[in-house]
Amino acid sequence: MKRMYHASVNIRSLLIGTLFLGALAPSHANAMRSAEWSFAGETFESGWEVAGDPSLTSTPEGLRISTTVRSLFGRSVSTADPIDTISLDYKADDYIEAGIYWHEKGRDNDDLTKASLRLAPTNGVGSIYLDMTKYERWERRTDFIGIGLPADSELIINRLRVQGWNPVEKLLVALRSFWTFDSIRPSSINFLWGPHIAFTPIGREMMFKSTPPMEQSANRYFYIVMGIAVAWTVYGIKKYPARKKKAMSTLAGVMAALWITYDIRMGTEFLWNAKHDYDTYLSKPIGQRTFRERSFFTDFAAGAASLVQDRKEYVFLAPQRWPYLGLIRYYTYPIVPTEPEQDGTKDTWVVYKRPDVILNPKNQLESRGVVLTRPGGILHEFETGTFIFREQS
Amino acid sequence: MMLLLLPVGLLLPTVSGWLTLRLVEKEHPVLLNLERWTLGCLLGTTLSMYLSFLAHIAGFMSLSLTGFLGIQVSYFLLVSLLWMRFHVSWHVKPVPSLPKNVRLSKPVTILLATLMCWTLLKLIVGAVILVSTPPYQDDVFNNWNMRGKLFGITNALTLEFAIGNDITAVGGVSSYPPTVSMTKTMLTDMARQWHEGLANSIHFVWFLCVLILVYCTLRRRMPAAWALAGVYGLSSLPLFFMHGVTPYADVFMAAHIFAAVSMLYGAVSAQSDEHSASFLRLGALATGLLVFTKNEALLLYLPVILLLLVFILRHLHAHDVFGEKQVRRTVSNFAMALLLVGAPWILFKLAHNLPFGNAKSVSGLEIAWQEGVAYAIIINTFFEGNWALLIPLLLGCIVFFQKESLRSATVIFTAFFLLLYIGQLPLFFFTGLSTEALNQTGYARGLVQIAPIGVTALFLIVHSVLSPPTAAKD
Repeated sequence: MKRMYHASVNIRSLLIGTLFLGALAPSHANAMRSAEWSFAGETFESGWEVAGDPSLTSTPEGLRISTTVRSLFGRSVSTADPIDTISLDYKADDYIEAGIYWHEKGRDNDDLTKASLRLAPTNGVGSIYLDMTKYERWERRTDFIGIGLPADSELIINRLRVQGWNPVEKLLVALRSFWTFDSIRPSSINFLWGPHIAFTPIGREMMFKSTPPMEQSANRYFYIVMGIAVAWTVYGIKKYPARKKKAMSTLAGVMAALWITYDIRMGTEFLWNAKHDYDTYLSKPIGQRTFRERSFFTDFAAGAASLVQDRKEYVFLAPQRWPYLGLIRYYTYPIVPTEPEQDGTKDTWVVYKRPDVILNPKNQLESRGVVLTRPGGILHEFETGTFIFREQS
Repeated sequence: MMLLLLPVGLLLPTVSGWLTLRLVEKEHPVLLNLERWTLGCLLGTTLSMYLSFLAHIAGFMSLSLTGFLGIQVSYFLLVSLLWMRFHVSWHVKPVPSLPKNVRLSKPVTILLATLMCWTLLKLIVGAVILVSTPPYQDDVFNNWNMRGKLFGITNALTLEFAIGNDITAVGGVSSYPPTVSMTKTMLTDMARQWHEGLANSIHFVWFLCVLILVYCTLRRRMPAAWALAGVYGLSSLPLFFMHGVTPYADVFMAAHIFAAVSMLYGAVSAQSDEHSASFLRLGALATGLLVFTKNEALLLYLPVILLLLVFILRHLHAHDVFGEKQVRRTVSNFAMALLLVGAPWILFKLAHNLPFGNAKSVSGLEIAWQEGVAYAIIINTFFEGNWALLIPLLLGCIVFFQKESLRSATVIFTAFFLLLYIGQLPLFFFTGLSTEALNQTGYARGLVQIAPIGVTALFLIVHSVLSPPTAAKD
């Protein structure tokens, strides 16, 4: 999980230049509490300021910012519209230990608050979503936001979007997030995250995509209601001892209602996952079906088992050992998978999702220029990089 | 169609189990009919597998269909003959009467019916997923089903198998009692081929067994509607349900633990010494077989059950329910059951150098405070979806209603739950087993195994708080 920290800096005082390329308004404002600035197609957005010594170049993918010293790229924003999330579409070749900067009300204009932001390398243009409400010192009605870059970094900013929601909208998102389900995964046998509450659509969308979930467990709200119900009952019994039985029954009713609500939430999640299994696996014919994140491995393994049944062992290659090695062993047992470097009598190679392993012109298997086998032929190919190969005897 | 072999395969073990239970109850039957058939299926299957294990290591049979059938037929003939021999001479007393059912209001009836339909829907969907989806979780293809397949291929209790890879080792799973895997072998041997759905289907039977056992235990103390609510409570625990429809062995273990502890509870809450004695004989059988389920049984659950047994015998003796002779007989019953099952299994483990821990050796654990465990446990217990609201409600009830939870027969369940739960925390806090809590692997599984105990305790407490004692049926 990303750790958050804050630091006040006087970087804004280092402003050495400003870019005024038009009006202060964003290019297109999306609804009342959304603002978006696009830099793709060699377009400059207006109102941006820079500090430090960045070199700015317009490219079709966005604004390329190269730094030699610590720099800031930011702008003033309207305080009328609160901001809850910031989305950044960007392109980077290396990790960048960047920062999000904002101005807190009551502080000196040059005194900005920083939250660390680690930008991962992207394949093409990638995105990062920041739920700013997670930051303790986030100022929803800030008048300035910016991205700080360390020295010697390079980043292409494709698009930046800020969004905010009013309390009613947040409540609706929170209710929807309670009914947002997590998928069954290998860890589901050990724990289930259960309902979580997010207050922004982005938070809800990303809820179960990080481990552990970034959002709050909904259990705390159940406990609040339970606590209030218990306190109310204790108070009622103390005040009206004769009504103890009724008060206890009411308390039991509240607890039962909470339990049933929880069960409906979790039971629906289970049925939702079962429906997904039905749609993607049970209702599909062999060859078209996939099972959760294991894709078509089940059918691949069953196919491999029939092709190696007259062997004692075979070489197995997959993107990673777990879970595929144990699974393929289970499917093909008593014929067992081995590693390429192990001694043995294997002449059959079972290859799963390894596009780097190819058949070269001499009909040998080869990976990144290294020949792996003697000449042979592919017995069955499931897709590129997934096949069964056997050496000529 | 293959799944039809499941009832066929369980027929003999269940009938033999039923007869065994009747022989153990003698002239004072205490189990409900439904409960006896359920326990017959659960314990009968485990006992059949244990006898197969004994015969196999003694060299009398191979783990083939013929071997399994031979043992099952022999077991059936033995208990049938014993039953015929004793049944005619017994003056069988009636089963203790049940609490009267109360007339429910229409809204409550509708709510209960709706919850039952909802639960049924989940169970049916869960059963379909269990028998028709491919192996997914680690221990399915590395342990339970893998070993079942292995036993079937080798026709033997093979402990070592060529893993075909010299880096990844399977190792410790061979130390588990082979009951679960042998049951799968037996079922799929009938199909003449390894059948994933058939091998998995037995887990749903174990899931139903524990639900029914909870119902019957609660039913002895409260009206049917309350007992059904208890079953709903257990089935609605998300992680327990997930285990119920996954080919893992923790619900199987939970069913056996519940069978043993509910018999102890029956002994304390029974109305007569004969009934208490019957429950304790059944408890001895269930406790003995518990040893042959999973490794935790021997190290974690058995000591607590024996501690409770001492407490129960002292209580019964102090209240003049049991005399010295009955106490001695009960102790010898338990000793006999544990010796008959435990001794061969422990000797087998020692002979083959199998560890006693849960796939990890318990010897040589270093004692040191483990950082982060408390946080991980709090999150897993209170802020994830695993247990719904069970843990805070149960702990709250124990704190607020001490008379109902700790100074009544319910103490058997609450004490077992608390001793086990609190007792295993130091293992996570101070030993290398902390990884089980930090990675959220083993900690929650331990709770799955005692979840039926916790739910039963909760419903017993709540019922006794909300309902005045109900008169028994005439």
